[in-house]
Amino acid sequence: MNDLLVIMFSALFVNNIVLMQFLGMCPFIGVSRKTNAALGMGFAVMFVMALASVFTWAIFRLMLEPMGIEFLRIVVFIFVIASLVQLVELFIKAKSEKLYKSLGIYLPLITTNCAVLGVAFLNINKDYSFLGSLVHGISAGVGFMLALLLMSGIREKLDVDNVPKPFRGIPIAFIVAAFMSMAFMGFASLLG
Amino acid sequence: MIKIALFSIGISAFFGVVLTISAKKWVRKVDPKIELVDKELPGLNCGGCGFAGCAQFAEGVVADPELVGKCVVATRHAKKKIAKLLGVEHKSEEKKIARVLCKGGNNCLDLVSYEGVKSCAACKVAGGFKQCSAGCFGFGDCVQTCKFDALKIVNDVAVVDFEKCVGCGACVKACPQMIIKLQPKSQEVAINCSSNDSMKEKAKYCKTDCMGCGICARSCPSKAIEMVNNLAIIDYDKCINCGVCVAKCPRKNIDQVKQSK
Repeated sequence: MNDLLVIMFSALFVNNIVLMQFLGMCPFIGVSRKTNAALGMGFAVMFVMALASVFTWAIFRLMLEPMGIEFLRIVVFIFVIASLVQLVELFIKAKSEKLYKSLGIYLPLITTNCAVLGVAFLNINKDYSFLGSLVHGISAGVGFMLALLLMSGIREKLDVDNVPKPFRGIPIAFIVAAFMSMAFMGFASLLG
Repeated sequence: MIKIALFSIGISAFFGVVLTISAKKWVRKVDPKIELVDKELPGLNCGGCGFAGCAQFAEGVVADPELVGKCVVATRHAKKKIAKLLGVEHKSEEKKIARVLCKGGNNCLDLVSYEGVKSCAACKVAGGFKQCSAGCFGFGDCVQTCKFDALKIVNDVAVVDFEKCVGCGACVKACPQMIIKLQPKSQEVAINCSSNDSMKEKAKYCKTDCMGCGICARSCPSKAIEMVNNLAIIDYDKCINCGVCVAKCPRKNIDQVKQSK
């Protein structure tokens, strides 16, 4: 239980996937203009990360490792994640119109996102158990959503503020992200 | 070597089969008419129809064919085609364009110095900064919302490019002062002022206002102009687009947008 909590807090704050590990910056900058888009994207990423963690862990530990072909994990993980997300998208599209409109449209964007793949690799590198991988996947997703929500709140205000012309739009967003990253460094010794 | 080959083929085959079966099973039943309608639409996603975009309008109009006329940008020919696809008759509606009913800008004096966020909506919340309560703030919320590049801020007041305006109404919704109005193209003349303040007050703070002098009302050959609360109001049932008021107005406030024949 204790180590699950450690995994959770580390993924949320200390090693925040966007602000501290610099993964998944593309949707972070791209989808953070409006808060409800950010929320939808955050949920989609959380869901995909959880799903990806579970399946890739299983495939690695139960198939790749026993067969001695761990080196194939890059290719296999990408393949598996892409197929899973496609499956999920088909399912959501067919079953729930509302759910599709709120998060289904972001699913193709995060299919081969480096953040999702990164989480899958980290589960292996850090030797997490099955439950640990699941918790890590979900928490990394929540950490991503947290960073995205903070960013969208700031950007909505920046859009109407008096930003100097050369900085308007993406440049100021990157500068703000850098400041947020520095702020999150304050969590560095949270877990001792 | 064999292991890798077998594993790759195995996992690819597995997912290939699963995806193919799901694609066939979990098919979203989409009315084919929606795509046919969507092809006829301009695809500009301006939102003038009231829907989020052209794809949503296509869905909405297949569900309720009466809404065909809502698309202000599609040509009459396209709308007739859509109506035929849906099995209804379509009567063409008249094209409208946006008119900004203010010519103040830097011709209108400020009441206070405004240091806040440079957005009309924000300024309205703060209470405005012009001496005229119905004046254009000139921060360009309308310019930003226009998808057809038909609005500009000139001398701190919004100006419409009548060639580019399609009458989608986005600017009307965006203006917090509510001084932009959609007007049918056949109603060529408009009084570009919305202030009901007294003649004395208006004379003090604005140089391009409607003074309330009534010269236009007196010179109108069809008696279409009436002075209501220090502001000229045109009765478009009587207006014959002759343009006499445009010439007679001492502030040059009235403008006429001639319809291209």
